[in-house]
Amino acid sequence: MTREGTSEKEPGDQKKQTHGVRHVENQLIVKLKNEFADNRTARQQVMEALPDESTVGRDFDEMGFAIINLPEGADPSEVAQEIGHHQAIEYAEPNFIDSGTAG
Amino acid sequence: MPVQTELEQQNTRTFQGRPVVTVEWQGEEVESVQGMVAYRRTTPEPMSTDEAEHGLMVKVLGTTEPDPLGIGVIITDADLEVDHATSAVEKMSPDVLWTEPVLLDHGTVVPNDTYFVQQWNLADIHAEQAWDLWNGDPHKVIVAVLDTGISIENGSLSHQDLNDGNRFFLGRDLVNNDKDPSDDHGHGTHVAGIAAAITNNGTGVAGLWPGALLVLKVFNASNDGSSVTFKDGILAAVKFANEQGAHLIINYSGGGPDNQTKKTAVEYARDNEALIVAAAGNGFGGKIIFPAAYSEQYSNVLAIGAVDRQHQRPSFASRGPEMTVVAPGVDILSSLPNYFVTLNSEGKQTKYDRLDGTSQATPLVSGLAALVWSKWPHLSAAQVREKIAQSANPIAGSANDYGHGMIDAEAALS
Repeated sequence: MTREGTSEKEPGDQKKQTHGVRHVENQLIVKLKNEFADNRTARQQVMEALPDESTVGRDFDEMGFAIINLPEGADPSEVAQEIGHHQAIEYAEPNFIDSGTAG
Repeated sequence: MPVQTELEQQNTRTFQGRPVVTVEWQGEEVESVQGMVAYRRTTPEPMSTDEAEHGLMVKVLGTTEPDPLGIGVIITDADLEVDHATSAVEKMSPDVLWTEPVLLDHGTVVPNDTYFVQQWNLADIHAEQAWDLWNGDPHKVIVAVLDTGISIENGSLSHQDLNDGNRFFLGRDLVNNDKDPSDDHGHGTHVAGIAAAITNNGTGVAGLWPGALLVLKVFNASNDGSSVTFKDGILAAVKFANEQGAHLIINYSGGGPDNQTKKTAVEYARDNEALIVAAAGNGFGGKIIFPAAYSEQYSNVLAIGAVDRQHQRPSFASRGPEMTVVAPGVDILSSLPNYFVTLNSEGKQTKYDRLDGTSQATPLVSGLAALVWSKWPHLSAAQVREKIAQSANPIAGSANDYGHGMIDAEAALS
């Protein structure tokens, strides 16, 4: 993947529905285990495991959260499954959409 | 975090220069004026100090002359038990009919806000009576509204019911990642008004909570957010509340699917003693959405359902075993931005209009939680949830529809 990050997408602007649940299109959340949260090597390994042409939407914070913009056509759920077994990753999942509840 | 005990709070209140204390009277907790005992006698002369001291068996400072009804007051510096005051009559002359502590009555303040009479939601949860009972610190609890923002023009709070800079604090726009949480949809301004609109300012609507409110924009102009904006909102709210040394209530009038990011954020809130008050959802009888549906797993989460004017679940509301309590959520009048936003394109007016939803029920519960927590600051987040649930009025029907029932602000603050 490349490190040249594109800007973070706004929720709702580009959204996709998978199995009835909406998520931000092509976006993946990665959460590192606490013990790896600020481990540079672990971060690098995780990023290298992502599909080519993935970019960083928001780099890892102190809690180990990062937002990855996946290449066009990539399914965040499938990518999450593929990299979820990495020893440094607590979980990876799509950026799911919430909505206000007024009608 | 500075904590004022219940006793200290009581001692800060006085009536005619004497402390107001809580006593048990006829099976209920009421307030009485310490050192004042009322009496009634059939003769017009004032009770002598000697007779009063004989009856009460304490030093008496004086007595007042009976009024035309024969009722007077004995004054003492002693802190008398209720039984002590009521049994004093037995040692007095036969013309004394009874003695009892002087009990406190409360004036009922009706707000002068123009649309107050249309706010059936406040009337049905007994807001006026609750305000009379409330004596908390409005800055020791913060309600963080994670929503579409608030009415802001030229960088300043612009709605006449939401423009008190000492109460309404502007946090970040976590959707566009800037410092301007302007409301471009309308949902957030409506929610903020229900929770905390300026009351008794002669205009607009009244809000339930007269204290601090933090605005964090986590939903965009389409009223959509994400698990990341929710998580970011929780982190920002906890940081702000910790800096202020205040308890934190997070109002989330929205939701979506269960996911790890959301759960991690809820656990972070729990670990920081923050209460999350979340909408059950508008799924037309479908399942309760998350984070509200975490209420069974986490003691700091409340799932809020809606009822109509007949206190019945409206067809749009979600239902399920995670339901904590319900509040009015149909035909709810509140504030909207002064300028054109998404809701105006859907037929709503600027400044004020009515909306339906579990979104509208939720901020009423957040406001109540703030009143409760500020009155009893020593409570934990779980205890505040319990107090709201246990003081709710049960509604006949399924617990999946109503949880513990309709919130009762008066009962919660009694």
